[in-house]
Amino acid sequence: MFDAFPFNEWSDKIADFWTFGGAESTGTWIMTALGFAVCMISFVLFIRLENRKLDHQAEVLRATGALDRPPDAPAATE
Amino acid sequence: MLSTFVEVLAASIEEDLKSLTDKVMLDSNVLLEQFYFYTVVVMWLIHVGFMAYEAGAARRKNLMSTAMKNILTIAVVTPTFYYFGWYIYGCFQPGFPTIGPDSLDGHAGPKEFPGFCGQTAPWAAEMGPNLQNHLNLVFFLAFLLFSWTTGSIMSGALIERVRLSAYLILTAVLGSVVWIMDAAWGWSSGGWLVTRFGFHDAIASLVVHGVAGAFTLGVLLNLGPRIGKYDRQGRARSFRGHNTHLTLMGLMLIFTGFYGFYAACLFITSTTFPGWLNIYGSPTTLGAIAMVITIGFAGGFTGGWFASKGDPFWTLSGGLAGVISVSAGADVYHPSLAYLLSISGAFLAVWSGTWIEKKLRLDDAVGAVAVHGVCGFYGVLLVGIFAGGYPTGLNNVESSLGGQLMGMMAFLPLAFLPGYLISLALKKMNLLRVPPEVELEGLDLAEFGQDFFPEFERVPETIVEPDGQEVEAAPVLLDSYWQTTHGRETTKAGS
Repeated sequence: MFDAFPFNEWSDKIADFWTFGGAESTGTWIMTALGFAVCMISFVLFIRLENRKLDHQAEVLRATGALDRPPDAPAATE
Repeated sequence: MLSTFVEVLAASIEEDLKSLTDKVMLDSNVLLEQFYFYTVVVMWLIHVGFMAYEAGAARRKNLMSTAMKNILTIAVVTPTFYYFGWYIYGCFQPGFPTIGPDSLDGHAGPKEFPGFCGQTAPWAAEMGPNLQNHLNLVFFLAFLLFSWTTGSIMSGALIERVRLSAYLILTAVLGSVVWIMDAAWGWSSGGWLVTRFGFHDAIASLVVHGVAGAFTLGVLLNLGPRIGKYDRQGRARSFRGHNTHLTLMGLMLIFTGFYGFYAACLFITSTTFPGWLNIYGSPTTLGAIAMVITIGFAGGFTGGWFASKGDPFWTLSGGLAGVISVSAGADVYHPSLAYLLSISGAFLAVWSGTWIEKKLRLDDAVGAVAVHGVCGFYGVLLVGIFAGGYPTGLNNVESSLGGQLMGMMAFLPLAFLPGYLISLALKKMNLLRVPPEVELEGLDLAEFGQDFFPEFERVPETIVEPDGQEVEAAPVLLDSYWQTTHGRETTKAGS
């Protein structure tokens, strides 16, 4: 279509320039599998990191007695 | 001599015409590519809005943990939608892919869209740099933004006590499996609900909002209310959000983004059809849906104002409810009809929101189940009543009350059950809710180790009792904490 650039030729070949091979090649399959695995692992890490923070803070709060009810604390409105 | 000249001329004209046709096709595709690109840009505002909306509704001690949920929604829904969500949309439209030689071509629509299923796999040529395909990736991105929206709808309801990691798991399931499955079934030209029953939900009342609301309902049943939300008699207290202005600004940003959302529900390819088409391939105009959304906001604000007797939060939420109520039929409704229906939708949202909070005793912090869930289902029902007989999709199957009810019956369990069951599993593993001590102190200190308004002095937190009296929150929350950790729970959802 355009003389200045071999557009049609490159259109056909552009997928070959993907980092590790074209569509449905071994390289793309491996990259897809790696990305998917990292995505799934990130969920486990989200849980573990948050658990550590929350458990630590809850432990600190319980240890300091900050949330112990004072004997003379006013009862909540019922 | 003359005949040779004519042949040469004809060949030349034919070549010119082919070149011209190629250029027009390219321009048409690039125009649609740009259109979708900018709808994606505008739809980002929805997420800016949801973040501001929910952060403003949270108490100061939970500000960043609330906002971070909205930000990390993007981090988890984007890759999961890329790895399997888009494939579900491409391949599950007839229900489930057939087994056999054509198993990958699961599209049930006409021959105009062959092989869409195969283009949606993450390793497909259409999912990377491809000079021959201008549309697949921007189309993917528009749907991805819808997916973020479903997660954000749920996000607000769960604030101030859900674990961030639990929310991320739930939002990935909602955004990359549940909603996109229902979109495949009822929001595509080849979906079985569309091709068999004429299901009509043009701008996604149910497939986005209603489904997200039903999923959220299932999660809320397991999550339980925030500490102190209900007194010992089960009467609802109100928490004071730390910045109502931020909440209202967030809602206005969501409304702005909705114009991108609406526009992204249409497409135009002038080389194959002389005008705009909705997601089903039925003709409409951009002006028609923009008019309905605008007058839907007007009706929704009006209804929300009167139903809540002038409450600012419910007035703006009423606008959202109004628009959601008329979205399903936005391509066919007359503006006057949309105005009236959106007013009714806002009334319904306020009433159902109050009922959910006070009678059902579900602590939905932003009224998401009422505004998105109830009004989403209501919107689809309205199409059956007011637009029955309108031909839907490329097969021109007439929309009907029965077809709309069929969609509602299919989507309610599809959305509710995964939300309920997955949150139940997380609850059993003690991964759903933060420890009560952390909830009482505030999530920000545990998650981030800091207060996010360091230059402002802390003032005692207040809470509004069921009788409307505003009191200091600490003794009330401490009492509820003791009820939760040392006695029976203050109240149980649905009790």
